[in-house]
Amino acid sequence: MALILLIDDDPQVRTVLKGFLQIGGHRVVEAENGRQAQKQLLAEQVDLVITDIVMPESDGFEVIMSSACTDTPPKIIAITGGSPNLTQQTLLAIAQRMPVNKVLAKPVTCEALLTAVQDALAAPAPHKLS
Amino acid sequence: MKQIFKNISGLKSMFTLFLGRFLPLALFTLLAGGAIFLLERSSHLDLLYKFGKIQSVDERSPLTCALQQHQLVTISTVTLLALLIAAPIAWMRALRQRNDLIVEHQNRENLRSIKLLLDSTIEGIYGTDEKGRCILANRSCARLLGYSSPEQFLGKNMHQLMHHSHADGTPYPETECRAHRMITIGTAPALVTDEVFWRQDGSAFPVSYSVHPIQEQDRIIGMVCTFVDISERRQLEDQLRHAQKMEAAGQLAGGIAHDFNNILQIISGNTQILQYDLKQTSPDPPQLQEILKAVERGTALTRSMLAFSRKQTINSIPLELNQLVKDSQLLAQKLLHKNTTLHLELTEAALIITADEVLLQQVLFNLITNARDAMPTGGTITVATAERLLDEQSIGGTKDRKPGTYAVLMVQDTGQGIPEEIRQKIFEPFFTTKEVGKGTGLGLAMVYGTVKQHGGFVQVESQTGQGSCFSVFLPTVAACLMPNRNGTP
Repeated sequence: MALILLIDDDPQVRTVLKGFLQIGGHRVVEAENGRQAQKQLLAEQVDLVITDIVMPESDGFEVIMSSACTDTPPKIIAITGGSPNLTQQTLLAIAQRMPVNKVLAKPVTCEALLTAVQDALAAPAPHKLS
Repeated sequence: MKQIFKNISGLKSMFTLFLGRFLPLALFTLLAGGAIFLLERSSHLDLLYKFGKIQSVDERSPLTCALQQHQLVTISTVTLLALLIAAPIAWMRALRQRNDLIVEHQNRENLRSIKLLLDSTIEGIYGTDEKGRCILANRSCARLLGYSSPEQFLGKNMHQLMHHSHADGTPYPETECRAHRMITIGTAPALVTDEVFWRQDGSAFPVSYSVHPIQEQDRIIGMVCTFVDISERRQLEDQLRHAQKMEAAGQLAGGIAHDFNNILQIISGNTQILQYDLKQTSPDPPQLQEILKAVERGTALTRSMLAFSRKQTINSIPLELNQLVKDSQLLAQKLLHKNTTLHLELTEAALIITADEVLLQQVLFNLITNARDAMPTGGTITVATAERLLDEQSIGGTKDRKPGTYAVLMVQDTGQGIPEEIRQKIFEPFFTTKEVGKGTGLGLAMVYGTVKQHGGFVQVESQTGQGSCFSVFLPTVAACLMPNRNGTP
């Protein structure tokens, strides 16, 4: 049982992923873009962040980089379905080089997401990125 | 010009020309003088004899001597005068002849250079009189129309010879001919590019031609037509148009992939949640599993679309094509129905290529699936490999193909074959001849995209009723790049 911040601009996708996480017995707070997520992160200490990469306003890469620079960086799972300009594979490859615990490709199954959450929560706390 | 003068003086110098004119004149004058002298002398002597001044005509007396002296002086003077007049006349005539020779020589030179110009162009050129009969033609004209020499056209009606029908075979009357209109109404289009000319063997080629009038005192008495065979240009244009279409389709595919993945996520996610919720109370309804299977197919489709759009990142490694085919054989067999046999014809030579193993296997599976679907009642699918060396000539100017050594993967079926009219379209995304629900149409588009991404190309040979053969050409690499899989040197 953990507190997870879920960031995705598509409300229907958010509902689905929230449903998955609730099946796993987790508590979920939602944000629809990177900017909103920053506010949530300041207000609440979460155990894990699950973020989409391609979003309007402030994208997933920004969330990853800015939260990695905080004093207590959260664990992060990035999840993407590609973008009109960059393919899923390219985005996943970029995300893998960033301070994230796991990178997943859409569509993701309930099982795969919950396993990734489990692994991320069990992993040691990340260090602040200087 | 200097050259011409030199040639002329070499041929016949001015002096010989002059002598040629002057000597006959001089000889004639001298002979005439001599004859006059003899005639006058005998008539004078006759008169003197009649009047009894001398006893006989042969008598030598002071009188006859004086007469002879007088005659010699006057006739010599007259002859000399005549020679003096003859000399400038002869000179003038020599001069005129020399000028004639120069003009004639110049004409010959001009004619030669005009003929050289005509024969050295790639464009076919012919001219006709006002009735449309050929009055001139160059070598390219004969070559393009399949004749052995341009003289064969002379006097023939050019329209009836090589412009008699439209591309679709319907007759093209001379009265409507856009080239001939230059003669009849004095105007013609600047450039015609949508017609065909017919060769001697009865075949036609797309042509681009322009017409120029032949005028004589404001009256058009004929025309000259210049033309080129534009088959190759047409072919390149078609290729370019096709490539652009594929590019646009690829961009579209890349563009929708993102949204598509989100939609699939929503469908599959909700199904899984529903499955979870229902599991608590009753057994799992099989329909939910079917939805998830459909999502899986949708996911595979997105992946194919991206492969087609050439945006998918590929993980290329050096691999041996024959080995890949052998490794895929078992899986490929599973794609086939019982009435279809899979036959391998692999070359002995090692075919080392750089490729993404998974994608290339997908290419092979797609081709095998297509071959299977082309034979609903069963048959044989032959998968063969070969090494081919392609030079500039065998590539035939195709822009996206480079000369070199290629590994060829061929998938041959014994099905119905692909009709000519749809062969061009088979690599387009979503093009399918299968019944609705049996194919998405991305199979061959994926093959096209992936092979292109690997620096290769696909060729299709097909004869109606005799099956089709898809050949995938992939550039080979040097064998030394191949990692030794056993780890032993």
